[in-house]
Amino acid sequence: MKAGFSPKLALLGIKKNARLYVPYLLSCAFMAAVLYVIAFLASTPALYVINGKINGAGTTTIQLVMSLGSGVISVFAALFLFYTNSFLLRRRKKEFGLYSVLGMDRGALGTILFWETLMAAAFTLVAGLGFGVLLSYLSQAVLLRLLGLPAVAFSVSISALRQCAVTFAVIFALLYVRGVLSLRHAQGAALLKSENVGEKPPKSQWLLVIPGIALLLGAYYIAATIKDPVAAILLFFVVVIMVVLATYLLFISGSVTLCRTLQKSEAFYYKKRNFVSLSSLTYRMKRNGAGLASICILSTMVLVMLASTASLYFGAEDAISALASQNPYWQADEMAAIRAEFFSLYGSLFFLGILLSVVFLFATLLMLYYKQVVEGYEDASRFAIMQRVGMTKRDIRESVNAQMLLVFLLPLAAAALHLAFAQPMVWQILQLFGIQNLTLFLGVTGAALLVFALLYCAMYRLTSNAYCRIVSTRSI
Amino acid sequence: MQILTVSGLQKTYTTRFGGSKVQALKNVSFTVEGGEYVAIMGESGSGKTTLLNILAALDKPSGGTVLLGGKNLSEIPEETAAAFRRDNLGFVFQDFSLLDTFSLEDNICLPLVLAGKSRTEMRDRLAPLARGLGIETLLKKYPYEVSGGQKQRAAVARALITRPQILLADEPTGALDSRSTDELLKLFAEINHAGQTVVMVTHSVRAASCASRVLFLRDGEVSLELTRGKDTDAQFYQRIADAQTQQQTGGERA
Repeated sequence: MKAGFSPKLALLGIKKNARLYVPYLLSCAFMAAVLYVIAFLASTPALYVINGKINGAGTTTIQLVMSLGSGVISVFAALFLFYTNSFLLRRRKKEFGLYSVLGMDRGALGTILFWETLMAAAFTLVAGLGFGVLLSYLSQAVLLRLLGLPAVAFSVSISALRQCAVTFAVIFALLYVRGVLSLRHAQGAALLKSENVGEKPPKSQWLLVIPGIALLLGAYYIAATIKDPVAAILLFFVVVIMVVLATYLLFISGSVTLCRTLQKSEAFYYKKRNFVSLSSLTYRMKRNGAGLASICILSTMVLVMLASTASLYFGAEDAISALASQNPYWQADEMAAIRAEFFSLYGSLFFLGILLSVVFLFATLLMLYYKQVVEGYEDASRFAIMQRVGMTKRDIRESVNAQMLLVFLLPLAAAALHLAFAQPMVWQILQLFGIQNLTLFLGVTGAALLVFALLYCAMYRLTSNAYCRIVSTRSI
Repeated sequence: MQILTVSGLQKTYTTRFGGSKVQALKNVSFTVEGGEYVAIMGESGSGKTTLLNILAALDKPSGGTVLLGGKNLSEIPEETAAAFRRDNLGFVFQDFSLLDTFSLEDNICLPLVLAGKSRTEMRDRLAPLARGLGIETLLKKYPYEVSGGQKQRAAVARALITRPQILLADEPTGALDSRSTDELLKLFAEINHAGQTVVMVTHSVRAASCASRVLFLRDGEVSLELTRGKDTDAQFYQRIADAQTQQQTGGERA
């Protein structure tokens, strides 16, 4: 093949799939930026030496928390990018099928994929690290404030840059390998075929729904009635596992069962408002139940994490004075050391809580966006048929909004419910750490939920609009 | 009574990057009487699809008028076009256009649900129609579970359930084997015999020979019109085939 042709085709592929590629590239860059920030905070000497009074213990605490954070982010970034990249691959299959029908062998397709990956990697590192450097300065200022330390000058950490570059090089290399492997199944004509062949409608599964409900009620009961902080810690993981299991069971089988039951009710089903949405939701829930359950659990985790780290940080002063009153013989310098210890731990935990929440929230919303947009492309032909049969643009809009609202609302509502029942348990555990201000804890939790819900709504509008554009612009 | 009156229809497309214009329809005029069975034949590029899209109110003409049941199609605003289509026109397509997430029954009832009809009315209309089309036992099945011919009969049921003024068929036999084709054409003849006006666009001489009148479309104009008269199917088939050969080899225009 002529030199320079592959990069051109790769660039064309990116441009043609902008609606999916742009969010993908932005999320790559965002992940790189966040990883840099955390790696920077874990490595920068500025945090630890500027104030001679901070002892070694506090330093290691912050470093420990941050390197833990960078590990979590690296793994999460890899998983997340693999997930979003699979949507891109699915979309591109047809394009690659066409190229292979036109006579490109697998090697040539691999070359295009290579250029594409290289371009994405270059963009990620340049934009992500550039943004990361700016963000790191800001984050450092925030963290210093949280720790009660004076501000420091702007700096760039070479070791953090290196860590980031290496991590993302590995991720992109893995993505490339996965892409090439998926091309192995790429047999020209088969690829050109449409994405979905007939599929049996999913059945009601009461056998899975009933244990799901039982598990959930059991977990809620334990969480709500717990009275003893030590028992709370011991049972916490049991309850978490029960809730996770119940969430998956109910999202996967419960949602389908509900849809099927509603379809049985003719008075409800054969209404313009419900007919189209319900029948496609049934299929959609079967395919997306697990994804939505994951989103729900991720959201719950973010909310619990944010609420508890914020409570710890804002309640630290109370905890310190409680300790001081128990130990009246403490000297002033001992007090200062303990205070520094407290704030370096709780401050860095709170900071990490915020950062991870932002990352998880961002990922959650993007996952929803991707799922819907990809489904929009697959549903476009169905909506074209419905328009032929007499569905108006307004009907489409309404039916799409109804479906979309449910898809967005379900994980959020379930997360809010989980959160409500987790409250008593989390509160018992927080008390162990010397936190006494219940109003503060409840207020922080409420605020976190509110911010979460607002961002969710914004993303719902955005996704719903994108979906509508996709399904109604296609020619009839 | 005239149900459809097409006069001086023109359609010009401008290619996306400006400049060159393509005239898909130059000057098309014809009428369809109530209860008639008209076939429109033409090569690829003769303007068949464009004509059908305009008749279906899916596209607007650049000139001329289409009157359906006395109503001028180009005066129907965009928002109500879909509803108009639903209530006055029934469509049958080459690719069946059934939705795979619906059972055949739900597929057939879809236009009625969209029109906000009651469930009782749906049942009342569906039962005799399904019996007439021989698909009563298939109603609970999904499209992927039945054969092409059965799918097309379900599609015909969906087109007829709104009791449209005209049944518009676009290459309805295009994806069927010869046995299913024969069955479907017989069905169309029966439906027409029962009083339904049918307009069918087709390549197939076999399909066209079942109609009572055949219009040939060439280069955006009606180039020839054949009426069955007293012909049998076989005689009419022969005349259509001869005319088509003449049309394609560039014979004189009628």
